[in-house]
Amino acid sequence: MNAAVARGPALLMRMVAYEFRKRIQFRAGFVVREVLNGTVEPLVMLFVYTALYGSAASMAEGDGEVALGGWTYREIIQYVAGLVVVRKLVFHNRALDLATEIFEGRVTKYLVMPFRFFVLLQGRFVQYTLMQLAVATLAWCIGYALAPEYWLMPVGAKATAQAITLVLMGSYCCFLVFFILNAMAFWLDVIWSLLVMAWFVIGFTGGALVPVSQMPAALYEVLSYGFPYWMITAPIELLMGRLGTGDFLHGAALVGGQLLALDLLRRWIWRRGLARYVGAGM
Amino acid sequence: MRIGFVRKSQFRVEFLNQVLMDLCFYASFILTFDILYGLGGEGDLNLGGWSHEEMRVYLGMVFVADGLFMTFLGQQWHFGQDLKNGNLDSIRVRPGSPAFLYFFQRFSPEGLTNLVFGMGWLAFALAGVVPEQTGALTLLWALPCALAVIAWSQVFLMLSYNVVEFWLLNSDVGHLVSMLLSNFGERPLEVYPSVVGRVLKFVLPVAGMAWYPASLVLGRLDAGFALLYPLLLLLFAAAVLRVFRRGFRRYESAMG
Repeated sequence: MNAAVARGPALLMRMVAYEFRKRIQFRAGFVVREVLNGTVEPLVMLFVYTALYGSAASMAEGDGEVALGGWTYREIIQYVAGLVVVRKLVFHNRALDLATEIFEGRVTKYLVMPFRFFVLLQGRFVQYTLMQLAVATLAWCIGYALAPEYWLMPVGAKATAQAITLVLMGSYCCFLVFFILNAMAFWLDVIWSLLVMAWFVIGFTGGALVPVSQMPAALYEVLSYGFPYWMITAPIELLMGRLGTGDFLHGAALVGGQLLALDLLRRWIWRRGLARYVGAGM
Repeated sequence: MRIGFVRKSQFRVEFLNQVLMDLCFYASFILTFDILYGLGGEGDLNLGGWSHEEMRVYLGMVFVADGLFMTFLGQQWHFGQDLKNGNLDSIRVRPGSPAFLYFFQRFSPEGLTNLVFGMGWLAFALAGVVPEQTGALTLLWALPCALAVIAWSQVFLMLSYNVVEFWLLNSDVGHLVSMLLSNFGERPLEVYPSVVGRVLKFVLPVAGMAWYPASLVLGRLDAGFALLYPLLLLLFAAAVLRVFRRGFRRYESAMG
């Protein structure tokens, strides 16, 4: 028996252990990326708000509940709980890798297929949304089981349906924004910083750190026209019963208009980009 | 550094975008705390005992820490993938430190630009609060000490986040831990429950990133604590290096 054959079983055992390690680690990666992602910031903001309301309560006269910017502490806790769930549903730029395909000249293969390339990406949006709907539902159930008295409980089925509609419309706007920024790779080659910047801006203007309706009135007036507000703050307020059907219809019309405008821009950018595309990558 | 500048000169728009990106990040922090402190109207709200002016100094330290991280330690984002792909063979050389060779291989000019902006904000914030509280003379020794603590903490905290990857290969756990603890460190530790605050001070000393430096220059620390805490950071660094060396023995370059 030669040495290579003798080492075979040991090597086999080592490879089995290695393969097991890989599988387990990929699952750990899934939990980190899909389940825990987006939970850290709300948790930190919860502590910040607790300290802030504690400070306000110590200064306040009388026993009444302190409200800051029209929000009581209890409402803010519910808002933060809502953030954990709602932000999971918002399309994340990591799910789109179009810029890399453009940069490396790999778009050509899609252009000769007998269907529109955009349908492939829409498929990814649908997959992402379905996956995140399941994760968000799980997150809501876990939160409710752990702290039912503080967790966000929707005021009704109608409000829930309205909130989900607004979040999904806003999420599709995000998808279009990220598609457009990815398509900028036709001109700029590398665009990841634009994506990260857009994610910051959308998050901040939507209320991922502070509810838009708690911001100064002038800022609220401006931000309440944008889809990020109707994608994050407004749905949570709908679930809490702070907004009603009239607000939902107003928001749906605003977001619908922006969605159409973004889709037109997406088509235009894509056509202009393809006109520059030469099929060779870097 | 020269290679970093050459690399970035290929993508000038991207360079500008990355500077803008970090400025957006800083602006969102500044605006968030302006809004939160503004909620008190005429009353002076505080966050765990930190006034608005002190909070600006705290944010300055956060921005400097971020700038240092982005300038010198950007390679850490690729560690999990490189480990999985077996790309670390080239850093297994002696007598060089594999950790140093790997994590300091990338220099980022845009990070340096943002570091300058961060320092500018810190100077602005300090001008508004320090002369009253600690005096300009104290600042002469406290500020360099604070910056040294930030740099030291950033390096060894980053290393501690990444050693997890040796056991949970390419799982993004390192990124999650990094994100989690960075987020916690970006707010004063007094806002957290005391047990969390203690963990962030004494177990995983995220406090060295912004809390200790800001507290030091603002004169918020006891002399004993101020002197002893850097020793704890030294011990933490030694422990992290030991774990890194042990973890590195698990590295196998086979199988991408």
